[in-house]
Amino acid sequence: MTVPWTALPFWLPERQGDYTMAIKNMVRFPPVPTDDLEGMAGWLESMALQGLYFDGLFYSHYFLTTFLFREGPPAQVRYRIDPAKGTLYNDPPAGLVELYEESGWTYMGSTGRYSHIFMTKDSDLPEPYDQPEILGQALTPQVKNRKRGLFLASMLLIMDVFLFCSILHSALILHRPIWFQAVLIILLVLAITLSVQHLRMLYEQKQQFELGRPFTPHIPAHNKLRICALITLTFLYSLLDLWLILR
Amino acid sequence: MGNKERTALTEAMFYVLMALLHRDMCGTEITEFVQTRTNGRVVLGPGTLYTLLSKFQDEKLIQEVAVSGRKRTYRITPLGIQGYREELKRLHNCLSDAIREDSNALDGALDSFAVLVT
Repeated sequence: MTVPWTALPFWLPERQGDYTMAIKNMVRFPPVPTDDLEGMAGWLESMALQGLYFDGLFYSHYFLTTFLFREGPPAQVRYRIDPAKGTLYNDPPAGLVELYEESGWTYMGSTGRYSHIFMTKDSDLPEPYDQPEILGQALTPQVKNRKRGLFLASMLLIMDVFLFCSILHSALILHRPIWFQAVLIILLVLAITLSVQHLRMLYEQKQQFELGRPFTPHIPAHNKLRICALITLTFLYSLLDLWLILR
Repeated sequence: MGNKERTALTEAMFYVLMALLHRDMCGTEITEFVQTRTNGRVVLGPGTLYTLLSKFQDEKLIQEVAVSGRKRTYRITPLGIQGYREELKRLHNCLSDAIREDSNALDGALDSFAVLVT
């Protein structure tokens, strides 16, 4: 679902100049996973204070996501991320945007199937989730989805390690060199490690909300280790992809 | 809820079902009804309302009956009415027990005072 320019808050200036030139200065890598609702909200709000407003996804891959920002007057705004389950194309579910807009929020875009971003300039507007317990419940489908993904990745890793080590290897992996299997195993180990950390964050967040802790945006610190791991993952994945295409 | 043993409704859930008892309503109308009925004590945010409406639809307590542009209208089902009435009965029993307990505690306090005085 694309957001037409006319739907954006009126106090944001119209885009000026060439779009491709604007991209160079306004593409940013989020310091936290998009599922970290408070971290994402805090980060987007800090960007708005610098005059940069979320304008959609620039690039999205399972491991690497970058956001596009548009310049505007620095302002104190509120961003909230709704974890409702969207469509396969990452569009928000039917009815969600209408409810938010009727309450004074503006839909800015989605960064994933469970991540729909809303913004308001009104500091007095009540929280979209007035009861944190319900926000915790709303995170349940996302947690289940991540658990399922982690289970499948783990099964894939076990199968690959078995094939790599077993005597059947040469018979079953006729079209793949040994290095391909080794790189695939490293990739899966890295992906599973990151997924476990991600799932733990998501689960802790859900528990805290279910205990009644109110939603509190905070500005996250950049985790250089996580960024390095994501870049390595993307590189390895691209390498395997390239070999499969070129062989 | 549904075929499973029903758990108690939260305050927000109870008022959403109450809103739909009278007539079919859209999201904004439900929010306004709840805010008016509770004198501003319960304010439903859009995220809360969406989650509750989705949950109630999954559990067949309400159904979407019309979509007109951006407006979606909901109607309570017979199962929803049953759920509401069960919750009302539960709350009534809680209140009766509390009033009786309060009355016993007051009687007990008066008896203790009488003993002290005499």
